[in-house]
Amino acid sequence: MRILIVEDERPTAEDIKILVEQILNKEISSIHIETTLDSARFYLKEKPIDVLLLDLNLNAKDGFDLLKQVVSQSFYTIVISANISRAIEAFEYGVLDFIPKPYNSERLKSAFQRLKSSHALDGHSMKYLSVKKGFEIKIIPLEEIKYFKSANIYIELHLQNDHTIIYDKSIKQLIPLLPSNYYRIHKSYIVDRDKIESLQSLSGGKYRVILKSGDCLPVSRHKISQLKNIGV
Amino acid sequence: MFSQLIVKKINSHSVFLFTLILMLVINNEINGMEESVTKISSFNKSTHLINWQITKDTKPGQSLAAIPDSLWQLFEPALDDARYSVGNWLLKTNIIINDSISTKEAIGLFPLNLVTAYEIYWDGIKIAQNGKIGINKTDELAGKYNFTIALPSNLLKGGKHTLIFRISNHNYHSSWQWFYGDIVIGKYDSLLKKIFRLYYQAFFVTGILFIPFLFNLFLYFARRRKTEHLLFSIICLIVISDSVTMVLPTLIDTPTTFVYWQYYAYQLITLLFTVMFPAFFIYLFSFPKKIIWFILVVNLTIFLFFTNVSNVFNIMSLTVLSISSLITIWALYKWIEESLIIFIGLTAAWAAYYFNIAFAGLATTMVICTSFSIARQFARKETAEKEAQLKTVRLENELLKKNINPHFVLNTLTSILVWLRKDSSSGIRLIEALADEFRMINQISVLKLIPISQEIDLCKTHLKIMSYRKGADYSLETIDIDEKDAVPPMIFHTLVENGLTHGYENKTSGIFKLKSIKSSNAIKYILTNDGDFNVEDTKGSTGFGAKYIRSRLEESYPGKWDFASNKSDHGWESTIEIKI
Repeated sequence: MRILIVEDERPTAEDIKILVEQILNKEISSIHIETTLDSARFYLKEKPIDVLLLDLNLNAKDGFDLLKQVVSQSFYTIVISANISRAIEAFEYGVLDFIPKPYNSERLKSAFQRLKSSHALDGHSMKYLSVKKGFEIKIIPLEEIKYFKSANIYIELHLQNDHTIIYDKSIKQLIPLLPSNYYRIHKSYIVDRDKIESLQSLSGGKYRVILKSGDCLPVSRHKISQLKNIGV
Repeated sequence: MFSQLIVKKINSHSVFLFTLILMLVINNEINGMEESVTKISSFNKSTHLINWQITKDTKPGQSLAAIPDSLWQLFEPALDDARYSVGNWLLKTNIIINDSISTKEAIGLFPLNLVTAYEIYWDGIKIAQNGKIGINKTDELAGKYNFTIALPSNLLKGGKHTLIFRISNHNYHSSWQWFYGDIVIGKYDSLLKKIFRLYYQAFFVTGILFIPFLFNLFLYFARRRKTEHLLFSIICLIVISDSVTMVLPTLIDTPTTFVYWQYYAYQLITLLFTVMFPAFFIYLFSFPKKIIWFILVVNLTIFLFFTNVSNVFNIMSLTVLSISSLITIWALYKWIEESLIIFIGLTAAWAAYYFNIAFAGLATTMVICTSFSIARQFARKETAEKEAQLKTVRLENELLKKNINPHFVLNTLTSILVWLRKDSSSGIRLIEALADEFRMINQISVLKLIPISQEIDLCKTHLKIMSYRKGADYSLETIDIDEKDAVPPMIFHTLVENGLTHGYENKTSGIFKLKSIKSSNAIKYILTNDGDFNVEDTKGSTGFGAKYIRSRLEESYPGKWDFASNKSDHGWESTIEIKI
């Protein structure tokens, strides 16, 4: 696992580094510290990472701009900040977790455990997706998305207006950020339970769901019982 | 309220206020007679007796019949009445009562001329005596100030009657002329009613003015001695004294000689009033104060050289009204608060002056206008003071928020935990530094000025905390600082904090320098640092911290400070200049 810590107080950054090393131990392939927004941006351009540990208030600069950019990228973001008043907002933009300062080892540990979760904690789920479009960051409300379709290491966002946008995260990375009413009905599809109209059986024991928008999506065999359980 | 004074003083053909007001009221009821006798056809109206004859009373003891007709001379303006100001003399007039007159009501004679003592004869019969006639000061006895008599009804037959006043005036000698014609005949009760109506008005005015007098006096002591309150209080007191001087004879037994004191009281009251009233307007409208001396000189000059007994009130009233009106017009032109309402009050006063009427009503108008204005000013000032207080509280609050804000505390606590894990002795020192900073902030948070040494300690402590937090080494050097100087709390602290936040992202050491330069009329503080600032940060002198600094400087040195904050060659430079 490749980790970047962005924290303007170096002793604190080093402390976080030590604690994370203790928690993840051999899982870490690299861990790096940056103390300014600019150097962090530069590092992110150059090096791929898996998890970003970000302080929202760096030298009195609002870290939210950076946050909106980074959540569009293909890694998880965990915020570590004293500015807890903006935690909800951070979750809405799709951070994996928000650790209030002062932090401790246990709290860091539980954040890293969430990497493997099937969906976000209640009330701590994303409401928007940040999407990079050229040099621009576009914020897309979750409800405007009809369904998610996997496209290699990316996701295609199929929007209500029939546009399709590429999102720079894998389906596996997205799942822990989404609210609990989002289901992975197929290895390549995630859909909102509330947007499903009906479940249709096809010949050969195959099934598909018909969305309220009219789209038809395939359903994996082993997901059928789960869908039936939730009343589809 | 002053219109009362003015109106009263307008009819200055008499110096006796009492007489004067009575005349004012009954003036329109007087039947002017050109003949040598006073003809009375009805007692329904009061009659002002005229056509008096006068003669010296050489032997006050002798019978009236013994005085030959040839000695009597007509009392007219050409008469050398200086002869009749002190001593003994006689006054005579003839009255013809219409045959048809018959009245069941008492007819009264009201002598209002107020000499020391007199006897009254009706057709040679002595009908009344006020005091005791005498030939010198010790011999005579002063009569009552308020003396009225009911004429015996058996004497009031139709036909011609002779009325003689035997007068003795040794004790009540005066520097002014004795005026004739202040003797009135008419229905006893209606004459009395007219007199007392005037007294009631005076009581009314006294009552009305007593409240603003006390109120403004209290305001003066309670409200940081604002002069306009004292002046208004004094003006009320002057008018009250004026009314009290008038009504005193109704409250206590007063001899006729009281008039002597009344005269000087009125002189003094007029003089005080002519000075105080314009002064009040000057203070009320913050007119240049120097003009008070000018007004004093003008008033005294007019008072001493251009007035005499008969026109002093008239002229002084006019002077006061003119000066006050000019000041008020100036205030109107400058659109000073409340000038309009005062102008209305003054217009009422001019109307009172012009019409010579209803002083009580107009007096009340002026009191209401002025009180209303003072009350409104009071309310407005109160609001302004409250706002200033609120501003101070806001600044205090801001000061506390700057350092005891949750963000700062939580980040520092985080750093403490970090240091305790890594190097516990550093962690302890950081806790101590944080405690120091909080303790100092607690001491200074309610102060508007603190010793600069304390401010420097605060900056140093803050730099220490931030050094631990950032894993850096920040310090503050001071040059030529006079430890006795005082500065508003946390202005340099704010600058240090701003500098640290924006200039040391990539630096792990920093030196701040605070230098003071004293000149004869100013102290200049220059705070520099060696941080790296880019162009975006050059808005340093307009940011949130700068707003706090400006508010603090304005609070402690209104209009006498200067603040600049700019990028310099080696970092950042902030300059605060305080003019002495």
